[in-house]
Amino acid sequence: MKEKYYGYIFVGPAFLYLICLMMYPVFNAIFLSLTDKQIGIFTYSFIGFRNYIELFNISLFQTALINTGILVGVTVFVKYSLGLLFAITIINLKKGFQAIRSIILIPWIIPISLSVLIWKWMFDANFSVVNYFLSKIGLSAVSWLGSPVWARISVMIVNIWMGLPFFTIMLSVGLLTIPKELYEAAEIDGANGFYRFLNITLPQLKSVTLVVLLYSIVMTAGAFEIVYILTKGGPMQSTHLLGTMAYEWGFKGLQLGKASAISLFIFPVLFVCVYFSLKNILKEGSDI
Amino acid sequence: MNKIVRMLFATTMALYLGSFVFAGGTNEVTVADEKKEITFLTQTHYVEGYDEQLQKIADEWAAENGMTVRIDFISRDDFPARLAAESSAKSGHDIVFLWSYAPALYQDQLVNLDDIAENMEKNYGKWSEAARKINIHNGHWKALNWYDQIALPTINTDYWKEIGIESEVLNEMTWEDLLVAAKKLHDKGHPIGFAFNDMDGWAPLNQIMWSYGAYFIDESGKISLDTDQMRTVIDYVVRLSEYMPDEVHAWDGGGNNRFMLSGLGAWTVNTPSIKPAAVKNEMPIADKFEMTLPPKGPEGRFVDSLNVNVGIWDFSPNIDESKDLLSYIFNPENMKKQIEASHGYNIPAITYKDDQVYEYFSGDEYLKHYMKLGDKATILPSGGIAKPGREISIIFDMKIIPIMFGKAVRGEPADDVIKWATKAIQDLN
Repeated sequence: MKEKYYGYIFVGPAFLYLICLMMYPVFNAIFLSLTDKQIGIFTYSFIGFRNYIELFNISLFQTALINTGILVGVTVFVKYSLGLLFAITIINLKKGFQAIRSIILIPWIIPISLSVLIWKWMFDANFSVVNYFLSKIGLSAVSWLGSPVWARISVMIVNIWMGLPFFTIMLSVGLLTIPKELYEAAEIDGANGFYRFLNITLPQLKSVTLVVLLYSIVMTAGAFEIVYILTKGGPMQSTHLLGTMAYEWGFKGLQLGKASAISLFIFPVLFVCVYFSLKNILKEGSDI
Repeated sequence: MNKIVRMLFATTMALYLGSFVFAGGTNEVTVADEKKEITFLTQTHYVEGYDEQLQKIADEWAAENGMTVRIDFISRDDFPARLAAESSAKSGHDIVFLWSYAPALYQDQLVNLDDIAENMEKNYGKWSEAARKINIHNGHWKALNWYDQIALPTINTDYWKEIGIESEVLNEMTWEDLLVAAKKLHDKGHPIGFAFNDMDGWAPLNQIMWSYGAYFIDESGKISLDTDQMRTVIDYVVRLSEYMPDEVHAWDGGGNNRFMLSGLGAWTVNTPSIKPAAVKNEMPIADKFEMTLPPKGPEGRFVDSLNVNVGIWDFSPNIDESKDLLSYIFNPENMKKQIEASHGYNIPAITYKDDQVYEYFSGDEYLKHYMKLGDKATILPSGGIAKPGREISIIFDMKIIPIMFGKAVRGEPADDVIKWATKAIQDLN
């Protein structure tokens, strides 16, 4: 009997941390999103879901929602594809596998704000090293941060550069766990490389794939730092994501209620993603 | 094994919790522990060396009064969030930097400063009209106008000479004259430019708008974007932008500076921070920079004044001491030091009786137009003729008007951008 209580004592501190530092802000945000609370005005009223409904009338919200969707869709696909390619390449290296795996981690371990600042300089209008190299190969300079289209692409480039190591490492670990016998048996049966990739590699990577995709979708949907530092949502508010829009509307627009609604808007979608992904992951685990 | 794990856990928790008990130090109270600390949140100044001078002034006051002063310097862009956090939590610094219309926004949480404002006027000199407009609410001074940031055109004289224009001529130019000159400069590979996606965009756009009689909010508080004057200005800015690099839409607060310091730019509108940066870094281009008056329009010549203010939170436990510190910072001797340390960037909002305060301006040819600027141009706060308040603060911080012009420059019709800006203002209020 006493053993049981030790379990509660052990998880107690972590549970308290979760409640105070993570759940409280979430519940507070949910509450604020149902009010018309503004900074500098002490009285406010409960207005139900009006904030959420009014969001659809705001053109910047439409832009931010589309940008967030495109960012998640494009970057997660590219990160997964390139990550798998790099993972397959590095595990087949005869020498230097460990060293290269460590180097690949560098974008992941550099603090986000530092790496985005470096990218900002690389894309700078006057001093862009990227444009310098483009000019050396006969291409014209790109207005990386001055054009709405290229600014969106710049945000994606930085996001992919920072997230790729995570995909590469996780998928390489996943690849290493696939039994070699499966490939040998398939080879004996006459299966070519592409067939083995489709029917052995990808299915065997299902659990790892679900984990990395889930993590990346959640993190990318909530992205803030890259846009905040690189473009501040510009030019002309064209690169705003839901996170940066919530920040602007909350702290500069003073609309705490609406800002909370913006930041929580995508929560149901992410919740569904998390639910079904975890269900599948746990199912995979129990099948094993 | 279970017993060992339990013992390890219990020991670790005891050490962890016990550290909180001992973290406060010993029971022995030292003289140092009794010193009060005044905290001051302000922006990291754009001119290197100013922050150190401000800290020095604060330390002198602290030494005289047996206290300590901690000044926290943060980026201008971080202020909206920081002020919102401190006001919501009713916890934070004693004295806070309040730029532009923030005193109107937080007036209910700021201490009345009537006593020290009146005292300063009696002893130091007269407050400007803008200082009163921005800081007096419901009959009380809620903050003090510390200094003004006024942006004037900065030129590279060599490039203007290439098209046959001496710098003195620029002081008599109209905006249409600038358009003609900008084309010639652009054809020679020397573009002009100012920001559209940053707060720096407000100054040149306000100068142009007001000189054509266009205001985004009128005196009664009504949105006044849908006017012929505003359409004229939008058309003008679109034409002027043809002689700017595309990258102006990506500029941040340092974009103007980098544009000129790189040797690319011929004209921009900025506070006097460009030449000091060039001089500090011993750049040969430093000698080429001059500041001029802004061009005139049909309604005259206008200048935008960004008021930098300081206030004291009503939850501060050190209100009297904070007031005393502010009086010390504002005294003529210390204001003179601040002007020198900022290389003339800080324009005092008080017209000091002591002319020595302005010694730096009269000694530097680069800053000559800041002397008696009110005689040469109409100076308005960034919101123009609108009454300071919450709405203006939001429009200003959200950069609605620079973004509106940016959209027009990018090819959107004037009617569409006016509609967009009107809706954006309505959505936020």
